[in-house]
Amino acid sequence: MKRSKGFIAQIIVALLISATFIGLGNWQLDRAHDVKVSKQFVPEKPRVELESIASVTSNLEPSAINRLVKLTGNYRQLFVAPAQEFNLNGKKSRANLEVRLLELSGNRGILVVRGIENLEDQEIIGKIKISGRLYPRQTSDSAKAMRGEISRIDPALIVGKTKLSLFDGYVVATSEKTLLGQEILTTRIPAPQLKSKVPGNYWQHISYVFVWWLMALLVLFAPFYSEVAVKLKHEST
Amino acid sequence: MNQLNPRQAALNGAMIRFRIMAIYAGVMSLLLWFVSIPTHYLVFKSFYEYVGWISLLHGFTYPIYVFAAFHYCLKAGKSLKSTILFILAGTLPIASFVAERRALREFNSLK
Repeated sequence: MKRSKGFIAQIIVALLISATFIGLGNWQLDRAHDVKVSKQFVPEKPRVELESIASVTSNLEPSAINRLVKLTGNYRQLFVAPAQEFNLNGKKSRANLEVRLLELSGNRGILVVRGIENLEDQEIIGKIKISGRLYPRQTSDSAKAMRGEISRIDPALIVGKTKLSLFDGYVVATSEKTLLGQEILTTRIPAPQLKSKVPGNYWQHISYVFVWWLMALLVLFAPFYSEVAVKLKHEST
Repeated sequence: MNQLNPRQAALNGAMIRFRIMAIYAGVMSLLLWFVSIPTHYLVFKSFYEYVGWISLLHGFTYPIYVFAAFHYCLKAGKSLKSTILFILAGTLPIASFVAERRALREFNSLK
């Protein structure tokens, strides 16, 4: 059966629209996959030296984020990060955090979150061995910073206040010890794995996949629609 | 019960399926637009965990509405444009109720 040029044009348009809908379905499938991955438990890797996964000359690699690290150095400066949000026993809490600049060998430094701010200034002298988790720098302010405060935990905010070359990101300390092995106590905050917040529900995205692919199928049928509709109408009369 | 004429009898099954799904899709759209979406993005966000099933159920059952609308439109000999509008009516609140009323009016006027 010979088809007109108009019909061939309709087929081409239907194919293009259908391909778009299939692409949208695939996009939802990717979203579903991302949601699934973001909610999966990631097993911890062994604790490593900070210098083995990060350097002062580059941004944090994605693979370095969330790693358990150990580092040794001297505390140099003290800052307060006001109104920082964290999860405590499954509930969201806010508190002012004590953040110190730790000087490492080679004139390098990194921000270390020790825990909740103490009203009494704790003097820490000498080399400290720290264990903790490495996080990426914060990108949004938690509060307006007053004198001696930093509005977010971001080494970029203290670049002008130190001569040290700074590592990207920061460490939340889970333990601090002197070189003699004496534990330094303070009110710590939890240091859980950072989860990427991919919004949505896995099955919801899967349902959209189904809808988009169904639409793609219907669009493919569109050029033949009038023909079939007329045939069915004749059959029913 | 009114006697159906031959054209109505031929269309009756598809019509009933479409009406059921149009009313169902309308209710689900109202819940989605005025309960699920506001609690997800705007107000009473803690309430969303209790109503999250709405968008999920709507997502999975909308294709059934699409099938029902498509089959009805095809059997009723509607134009492609009308068919597209009938299918899209399932995504907007009220619109599928309007489509259901319109379909019923057309069905009753069939001779």
